[in-house]
Amino acid sequence: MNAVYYSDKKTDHCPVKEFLTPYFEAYEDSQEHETMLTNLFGIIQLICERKNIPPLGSMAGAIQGYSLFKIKLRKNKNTLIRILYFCHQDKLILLHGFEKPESYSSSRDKERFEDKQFKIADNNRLIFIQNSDFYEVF
Amino acid sequence: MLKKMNKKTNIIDRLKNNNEFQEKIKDATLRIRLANEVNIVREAMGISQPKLAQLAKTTQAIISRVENYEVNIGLDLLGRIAESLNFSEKNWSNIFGFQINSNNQIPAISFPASWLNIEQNNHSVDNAETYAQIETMDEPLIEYEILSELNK
Repeated sequence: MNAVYYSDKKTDHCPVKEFLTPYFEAYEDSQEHETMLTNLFGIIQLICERKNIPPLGSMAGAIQGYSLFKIKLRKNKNTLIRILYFCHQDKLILLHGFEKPESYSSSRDKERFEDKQFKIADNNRLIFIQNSDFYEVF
Repeated sequence: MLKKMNKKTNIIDRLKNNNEFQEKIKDATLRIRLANEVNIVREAMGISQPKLAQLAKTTQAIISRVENYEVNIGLDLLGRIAESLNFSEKNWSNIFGFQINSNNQIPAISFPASWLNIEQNNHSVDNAETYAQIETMDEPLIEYEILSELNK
């Protein structure tokens, strides 16, 4: 299984690559970013080797109610990072990424925020299924 | 827009081809494999982090950091955790990425002859009975067949 970025060729939009670019840019100056990126590459490698077969421990898991999975990373003490993906025809497609604050003003805020992100990823997933060349090598 | 994307792609490609970055990914991957195995086996055994910490003579904070792939642990602690979780060959193979064949035997290992300080085609090692078979390869690897004692 190979990892790829979902990349919308019509809009020239590659969500996860764009999300990760600031981390790549600050890689040499920030221990946080270095750790986050090397962990992300390591987790993706492990998921690909195991063909996304659970259990994947505490680092990745399915999202209830969606045909999506999430990679769970920590940026720092207060910020978590989620990279959403799905698997299709021997490809792991990275659909969407976002920073998730560890504390919200209410649990309803948390649900709303996350659900919005899941819907964005799910929309990307549906576009990819209809346009199987919409990807870039990870 | 395209120019902006190309610039971003260059930054990412440059880093992906950086040897130091690749080495750090290898290190992270090993920590992640260990974290994954400890977490899965511990939960399958129904053991809490504090209980595992007690069994392995460490603290819950360390176990948590191991499972969150935040720490490089020493061999002694690794041994105590593995013993507490009854790690099998399968668990070790998942961590270090080697294959176990269908008979649950550890497969042949290839490594340079120089590691043993012997020359190719020289089969006289100290404990010859330990090795079921030694075969030389074309260049410069030597393949050791099953360590029979380990597979009994």
